[in-house]
Amino acid sequence: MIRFERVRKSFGAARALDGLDLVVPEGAFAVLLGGSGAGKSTALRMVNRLIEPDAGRVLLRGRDVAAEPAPALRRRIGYVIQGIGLFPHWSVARNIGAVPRLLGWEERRITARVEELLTLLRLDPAAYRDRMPAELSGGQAQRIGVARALAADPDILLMDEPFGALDAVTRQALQQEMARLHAATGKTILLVTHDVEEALSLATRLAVMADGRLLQEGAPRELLDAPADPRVRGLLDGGALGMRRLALVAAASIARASGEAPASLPRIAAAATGRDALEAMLVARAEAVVLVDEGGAPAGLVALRDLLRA
Amino acid sequence: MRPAALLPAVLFAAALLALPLGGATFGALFPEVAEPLYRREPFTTLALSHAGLVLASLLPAAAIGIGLGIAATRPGAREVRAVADALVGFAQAVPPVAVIAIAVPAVGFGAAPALLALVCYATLPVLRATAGALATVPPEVLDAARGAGMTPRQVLFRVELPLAAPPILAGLRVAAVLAVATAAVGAVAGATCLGTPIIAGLVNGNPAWVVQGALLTGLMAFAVDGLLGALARPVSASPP
Ligand SMILES: Nc1ncnc2c1ncn2[C@@H]1O[C@H](COP(=O)(O)OP(=O)(O)O)[C@@H](O)[C@H]1O
Ligand SMILES: [Mg+2]
Repeated sequence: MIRFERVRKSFGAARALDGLDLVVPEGAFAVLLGGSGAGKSTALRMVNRLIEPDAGRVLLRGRDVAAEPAPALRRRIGYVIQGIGLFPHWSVARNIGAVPRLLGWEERRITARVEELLTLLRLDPAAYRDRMPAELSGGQAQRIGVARALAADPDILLMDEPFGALDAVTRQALQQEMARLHAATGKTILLVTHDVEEALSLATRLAVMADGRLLQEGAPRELLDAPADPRVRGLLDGGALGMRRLALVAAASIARASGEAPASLPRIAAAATGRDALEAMLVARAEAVVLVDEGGAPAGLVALRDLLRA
Repeated sequence: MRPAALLPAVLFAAALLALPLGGATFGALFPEVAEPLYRREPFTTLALSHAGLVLASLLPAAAIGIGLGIAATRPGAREVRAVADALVGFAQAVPPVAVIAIAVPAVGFGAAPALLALVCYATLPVLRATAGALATVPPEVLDAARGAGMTPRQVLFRVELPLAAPPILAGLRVAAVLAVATAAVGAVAGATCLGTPIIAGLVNGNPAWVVQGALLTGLMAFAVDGLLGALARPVSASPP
C-alpha cells in the first residue's frame, strides 16, 4: 500500500504538490491522470525518493519512505520512465541485470532471471540478450525498460508516462502486456499518464489530479458515473463518455442466455467488453452478438438494448 | 592499431637516431655556424627528460582536471563550477613563459617551474573535456540510474564516466600534445628538455640548434598525438 499524506512540494515559485492525500491499495493498478504540470511525476518520484517532500510524508506499507536509505528503497521498487533511460553502454542483459547486480546476486542467478524476463516480455533471449540499446526499436527498448524494472521482483512498480513516446500500435500492445503482467503478478503498480484512454483501459483505481491536488479517486467506473468535480468530468468525458463507460463493462455481465444462438449473429469472445460487443454489432449490422467461450461454445447473448443497462 | 597512427612515432624515433649523424648536413645548411650539431647532451637524453617532464605533469593534470570536472558537474556544486571557470579563464590568459617567470622566484630554477606551468596548462583541456562530457550524459539515463538504486558513486563510476570516457580521452590527448609543446619552454628556467638546444641556439646565435630542438619537439608532439589517438579510438568503440 502506498499512502500520500498531505504532501507538499514547491520548485522555487512553482507549486508542484499542494497537499496531496492519496491511498493506493495493495495489488492495485493505480493510474494518476491529469494534464501536464498537474504534479503527477512529482508525486510518483516521491515514492522512490527521487524527490523529497517539503511537507507531509509518503508511506509504503505504513512505513515512511524517508526511514530507509534511498538506494536500498529504490532497489525494491521498479521504475520505468518515458525516456526509457536504458544504459547505452550496456547490453540488454546487463541493463536488465542492473538492480540484481546492485543487490549482489550471483552471476548465474542474474543470467537466469534475464532469460526469464525476456521471455515474459515476449522477446527471444537468444536474439536480444547481447544487443546494445541503440539496436532496439522504441517498443523493444521500452519492453527492456519494463524488464529491467521487474528484474529484482519488486512489489511496487512506478511508471511515468511509459508508453508516451511510442506509436499507437506499439503502445496498445504494451498496455495489454502491462495489464497481463499485473494480473499475473499481483504487483502494486502506480502509473502516471495524461492519456484518458490509457488510464481507463489500465486502471483498477483511478486518481485524477490537477494543480498539485487530488480531485477524485476511485474505480474508473465510479469516476465516469459520478465525477466529483467539473474538471474530472471535463477530462473523462471528452465527447466519448458513453463509449468509455461501455469499454469498462464486461459483455458477460449484461448478457442473457443465448438459447438457440442464431448462426447469423456475430460472435465475440466471452471476455470482451460492452464496447467490443457494440463494435461487432455495428460491423455486422446485427442487433445482437453471441458470446463464445474459449471452446467456441455459445456462452450468452448481448442485444443492442442490453447495452443501455451498461 | 592502424599503421598511420604509428607513422609519427616512427618518424620521431628515426629523427632522434639520425640527427646525431647529420652534422655535415647542418653544416651545409648553416655554413656560418662553427658548431652545426648540438652536442652538449645527447638528443636521446633530452628527449627522455622531456618525456619525463610531460608524464610528470600529465598525471597530476589528469587527476586535477578530471577531479574538478566531476566536482563541477555534481548537483548543487555552483561554487566549484565558478572556481573551475575562473581557473580556466585565468590560466588561459597567462602565457606559459609568464607562469615560469613567476614560478622561478618561488620554486627556483630547473624542472620545478616548468612542471608547474605544464600542470597549469595541461589541466585545462582535461577539465573542459570532463565537465563537457559529463554534462552531455542524457538526463533520463541519470534518472534511471538513480531510480535503479545506484549510489551517487555508482552512478558516477558505472554510468557517467564510462559514457563520458571518449571525450575525456580526447581531452587527455590534447593535454598531452600541449604538454609536449609547452615543456620546451621549460628550458627557459633551466629544465633539461628538447627546448634546451633551442634556448642555447638563441643565446649563442646558432640557428642550427634551434632547428634541431624545434624539429624534435614538433615530431614528439605528433608522435604523442598519433599514439594517443590510436589508443582512444578502440576504447570508445568497444562495448565493455
Ligand atoms: N525539477 C523541477 N524544477 C522546477 N520546476 C519543476 C520541477 N519538477 C516539476 N516542476 C514543476 O512542478 C509542476 C508539476 O510538475 P510535474 O510533477 O512534472 O507535472 P506532471 O508530471 O503532472 O506533468 C510543474 O509546474 C513543473 O513545471
Ligand atoms: Mg510528468
